[in-house]
Amino acid sequence: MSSGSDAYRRQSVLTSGPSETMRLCLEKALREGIALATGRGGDMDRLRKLLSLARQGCVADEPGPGRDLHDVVGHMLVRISSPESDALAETVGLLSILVGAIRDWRGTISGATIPAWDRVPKP
Amino acid sequence: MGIDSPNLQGANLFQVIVTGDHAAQVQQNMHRGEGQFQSQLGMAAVEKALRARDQSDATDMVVKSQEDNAQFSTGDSLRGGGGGGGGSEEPRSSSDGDSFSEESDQSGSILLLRSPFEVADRFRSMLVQGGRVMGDCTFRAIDRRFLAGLLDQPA
Repeated sequence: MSSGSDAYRRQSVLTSGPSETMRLCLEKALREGIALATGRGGDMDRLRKLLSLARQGCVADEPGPGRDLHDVVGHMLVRISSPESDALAETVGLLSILVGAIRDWRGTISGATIPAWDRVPKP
Repeated sequence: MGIDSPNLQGANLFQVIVTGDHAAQVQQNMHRGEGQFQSQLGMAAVEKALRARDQSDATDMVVKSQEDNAQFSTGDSLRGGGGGGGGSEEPRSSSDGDSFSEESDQSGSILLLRSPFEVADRFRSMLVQGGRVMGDCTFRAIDRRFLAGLLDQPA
């Protein structure tokens, strides 16, 4: 990644709102999960940290989407800590649903300004 | 002539001596305090310089320093590590019907869901149908510096 886009992404992390930082966090977790599931690198500890971070970013005080997101992320944390072979595949599937949901929601309220998945600069 | 007696200029010599001695003590204390302050300032400057050098040498220092905190006690406790005491757990009601087992006492409210994909779909539908107002009641701020450090590392 070029230094310009890198600086832009850092600035975006520092200035964006909670929903955008959650999207960035979950998308990074999805990339880590895909890399781990396909055997092309990835770091399980980093995935665990990203999920922990995402779980902290949920409003789970009352029933609602925040509670559901909190529960699903907690479920993924439990699953990837288990030795079961299908845990990573399930985690990738769940993360893709969550990322898609936030992308759809952001597109609805802001006019679809989020770049497509394959056009997002990869670190 | 005793020192308590007035001198030729009308001043009390004893008072002059006491006042002078007091002033000397105050001045000495000031120098001592100033010396301590100077030494602390020097230590702080050295520490700051060392920290700046460390950050310039190791770009992932933020991540490493955060790892020492108990912020990720959730995952640590799941791995059998522990620490942190789970202080960041949110209060929950007992009306949830999707969960069926608790991982451990330390993990608190981390639950395995019976049907996680249904919950994820429900999250999706509630979020999209709720519109803009759902942002405030769904997401809250997370540690941006830590996230930036994690995003910097390639998958």
